[in-house]
Amino acid sequence: MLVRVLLILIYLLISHILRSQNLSVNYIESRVEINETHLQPPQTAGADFATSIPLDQGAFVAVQGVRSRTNWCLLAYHTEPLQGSAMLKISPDITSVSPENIGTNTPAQLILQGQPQPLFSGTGPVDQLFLSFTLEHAHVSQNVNTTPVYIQYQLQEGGCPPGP
Amino acid sequence: MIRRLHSLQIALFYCVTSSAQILWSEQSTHFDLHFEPIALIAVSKQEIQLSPEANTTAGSRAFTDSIATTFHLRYSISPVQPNTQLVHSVSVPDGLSSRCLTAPFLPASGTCTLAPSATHNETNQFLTTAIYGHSGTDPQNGIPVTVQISLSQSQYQNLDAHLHIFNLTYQCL
Repeated sequence: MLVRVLLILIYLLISHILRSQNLSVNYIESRVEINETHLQPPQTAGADFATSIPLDQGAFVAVQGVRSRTNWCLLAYHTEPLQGSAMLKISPDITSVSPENIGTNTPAQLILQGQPQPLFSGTGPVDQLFLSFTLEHAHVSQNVNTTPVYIQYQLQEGGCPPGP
Repeated sequence: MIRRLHSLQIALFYCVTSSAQILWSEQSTHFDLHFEPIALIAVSKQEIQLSPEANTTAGSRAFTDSIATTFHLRYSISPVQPNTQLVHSVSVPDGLSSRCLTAPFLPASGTCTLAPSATHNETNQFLTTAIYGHSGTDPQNGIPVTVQISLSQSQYQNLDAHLHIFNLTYQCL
C-alpha cells in the first residue's frame, strides 16, 4: 500500500516530465546563396565577403505539449563546423512570440558552436518563434561550393542559465 | 526487500527531479549554404591615348621604338562558369603593331589571375588563359594593363590625331 502511494506521488510530481513535449524547427529555405552582391564593396573584384551577411533564411520554431507556466530553454549547436573561419549567428525574434512566452535570460543572439548554447528561454507552448541567421567572417578564399549547415536543436526543461 | 525497493524509488525520484536541465526533445536540421563562384565577367571600354611626342634636351624631337602606357580597366564581377576565357579586343590603327601585357591583378593568394601576357592573334584580339574564381582581401581599382605599341620613325612622324586612340574592350566568353 505504501509503495502504491509512493508511486502515485512520484507520478504526480514528475507527470509534467512524462508529457510529450514536441519541438519543431522549419526553415523557410532549403538552400541559401552567397554571391557577388555579398562582397564588400559589392560586385568588386578582389573584394572579400562582408564581415556580417544577413542570410535570406529564417526558421519557425514550435514548442508544443508544454504546460502554460512551464519554463524551457531552446539550445542549438552545429554538428559540423563551417568552412574556414566562417561562423553562423542565430537571432531569435522576441517580437514573434507573446511576451508571456518569453522567459528570463533569453539571449539576444547565438554564435553557433560545437556545444549546445542557449538560444531562447521560453514559458509555455509557442507556435511560431522566428529565428534569423547571419553569416559572419566568411572569406572568398575559404568558402566555396555548397556547404550543408547542420544544426541540432534541443529543448530542455527549465529556463536558460544566465549568460556570461 | 521492501526497504531496498523504497530506496531505489527515492533514488530514481531524486535523479529524475533534481536535475534542472532535462532534455525533452531534440531535432536535427540542415540547410545548404551555396557560395556562388566569384569571378570576372568584365565588360568595359576605355580609350587610351598615346603619349605626346617628347623632345630631347637639345630641343629636337625624340623617337622611340615603342611607347608604353598603362591604364586601369573598370570592371564588374559576377558568377561565371569555370574555364571562362577573357578576350581583349584591341583596335589598332593600321600599320601599327601592338602587344598587350597584363599582370596578375589579384594578390598572390588569389586563385584568379589574368594571363601574364596575352598574345595577339592577328585579329585584334588578345586571348587570355582561362579565369576562374578569385580571392583576395583588398578591393582593386582596376586591372592594370600595359599596351605597348611599336612605331617606326616614319609612322611616328605621320601619326594622326585620330590614330592615337585605341579602343579596348574586354569581354568574357
